[in-house]
Amino acid sequence: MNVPVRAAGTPRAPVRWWRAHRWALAQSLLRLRERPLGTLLTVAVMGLALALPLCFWLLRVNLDRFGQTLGEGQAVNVFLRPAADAAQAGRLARRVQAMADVAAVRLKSPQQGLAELGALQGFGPALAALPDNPLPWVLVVEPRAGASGAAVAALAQRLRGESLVALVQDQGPFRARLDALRGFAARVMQVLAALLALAATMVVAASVRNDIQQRVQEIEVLQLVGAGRAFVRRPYLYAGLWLGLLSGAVAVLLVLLLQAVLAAPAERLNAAWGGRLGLAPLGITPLLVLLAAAAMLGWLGARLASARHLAAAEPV
Amino acid sequence: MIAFEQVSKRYAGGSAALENLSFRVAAGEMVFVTGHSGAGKSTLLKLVGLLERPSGGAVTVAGRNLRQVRRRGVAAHRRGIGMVFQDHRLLMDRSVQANVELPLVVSGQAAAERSRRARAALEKVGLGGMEQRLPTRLSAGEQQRVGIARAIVARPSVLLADEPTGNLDPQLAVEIMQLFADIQTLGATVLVASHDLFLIKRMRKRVLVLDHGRLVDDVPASEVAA
Ligand SMILES: Nc1ncnc2c1ncn2[C@@H]1O[C@H](COP(=O)(O)OP(=O)(O)OP(=O)(O)O)[C@@H](O)[C@H]1O
Ligand SMILES: [Mg+2]
Repeated sequence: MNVPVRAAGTPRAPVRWWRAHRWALAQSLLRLRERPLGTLLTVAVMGLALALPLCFWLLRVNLDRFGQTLGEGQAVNVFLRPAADAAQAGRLARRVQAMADVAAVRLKSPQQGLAELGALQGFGPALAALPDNPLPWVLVVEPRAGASGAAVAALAQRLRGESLVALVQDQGPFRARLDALRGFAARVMQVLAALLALAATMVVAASVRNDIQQRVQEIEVLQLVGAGRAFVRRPYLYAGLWLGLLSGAVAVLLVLLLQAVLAAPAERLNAAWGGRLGLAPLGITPLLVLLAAAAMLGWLGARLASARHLAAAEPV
Repeated sequence: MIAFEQVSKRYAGGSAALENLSFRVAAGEMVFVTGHSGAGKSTLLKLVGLLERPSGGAVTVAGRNLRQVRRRGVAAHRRGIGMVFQDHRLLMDRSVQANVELPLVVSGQAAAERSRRARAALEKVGLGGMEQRLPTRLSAGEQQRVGIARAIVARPSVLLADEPTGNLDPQLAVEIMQLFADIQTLGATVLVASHDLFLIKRMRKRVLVLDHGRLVDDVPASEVAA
């Protein structure tokens, strides 16, 4: 009597698994097509919710570059004591070059300094009247691109400690303010992005819940003919995945559209800054990351909704 | 194949639907369960299909005490059992063919195999050629037969039918019962709940008689008077 209850000719587990997935996939697509309006609405709302963080990101990347551009030419000027000669200045320049956070060191001789001053309008005759060149040797120290305000301040402090150095002129407060602003903007964007991702997940969850509630009978019949929890759930998870992917595609399109609309003004802005601004469009990587993240959020939303609303329909 | 030992079922808040029920059904046997309305026929079938759990006693199917079948095992248990319901439980927005294929989808059969077997099952219940129709466009009796095709399509070792002929004319009812008997001869254990005494007598199978949840008679096939 110990015959297992088993339908004749049941395929092996991996085959069953694979076929069940294929079926769930087809079902999930059918479902989206059966409710075109609901699908469209969900995808539009979620797409918008996902496009916003991406816009923030675009903004942030460019703000960073903008800040760097502003920070550039904000070299630290190191004035040496008048007594320092060319050899000493050269040795110091080489030492500074080796310091952390230093990109380049340019040595400016008193003659060069005088010539630069002379080039400024109105200074020529006054300088010509000087008996001696009163200018010292100067090191123009370019901090490494992207070095933080604190790092540059530390560098300036270190330079002040050099015995040959008379005066160090850096743009510390300016850099610190810029850094603080960047940090603040980044945090605000992170928080907003997290909230929007949550909203997108909830949108999918609501859509899937709707779907489940409209299919109570179908779910029951599936369970009666021997469908397990995973089997019943799978089409909804796939549907969530599709909704996520479609929304991701919508978000990508929206961002590309935004970039296209902004291209001309951005170019003018760039030109106004002497071509040094170089506003960067998004590369392919963040767009792909967005698509993957959107699919995952959709799946997650479907998982949440199905866990909650399918539990009620579980067999005894 | 199926054994009830001192089985009781009490629904939440209700009186006892089954009380101290004990009987055995051998593998490959066909048995009718009869009794007045509310006697507990449906409840008995539900316990076998794990649509309900007993309040006391032990239900054994294929040598396995169903108490040992936990939540996760219920689906696998049901895949080995075909069920026909009085209200047929069809998906009204799917074609007849899709409805009949459902158990095969769940058990992971290939599409071609599904299609072939669903057609064969529909042919058996006399619905050949109706594959693409929606159940809403069928008569009650035809819908019932789609439900039967769905129950037999996976060739289950146990077939449970709850008033399967309620909506059928007498001639068709006899044909459907004959179909169940055919399935029995292929080795399946068949349990049919029915209060159609005329039909039961005609089939000459063993009969369990319930009265208010108690087993009051167990008539062997040889003693069923024509
Ligand atoms: N889900 C339920 N909740 C509470 N009581 C129930 C439930 N299902 C059945 N009952 C009760 O259990 C008893 C047996 O019901 P059951 O459906 O098994 O009878 P039946 O013999 O199939 O009757 P019928 O011939 O009318 O279908 C009845 O008194 C019924 O009211
Ligand atoms: Mg009943």
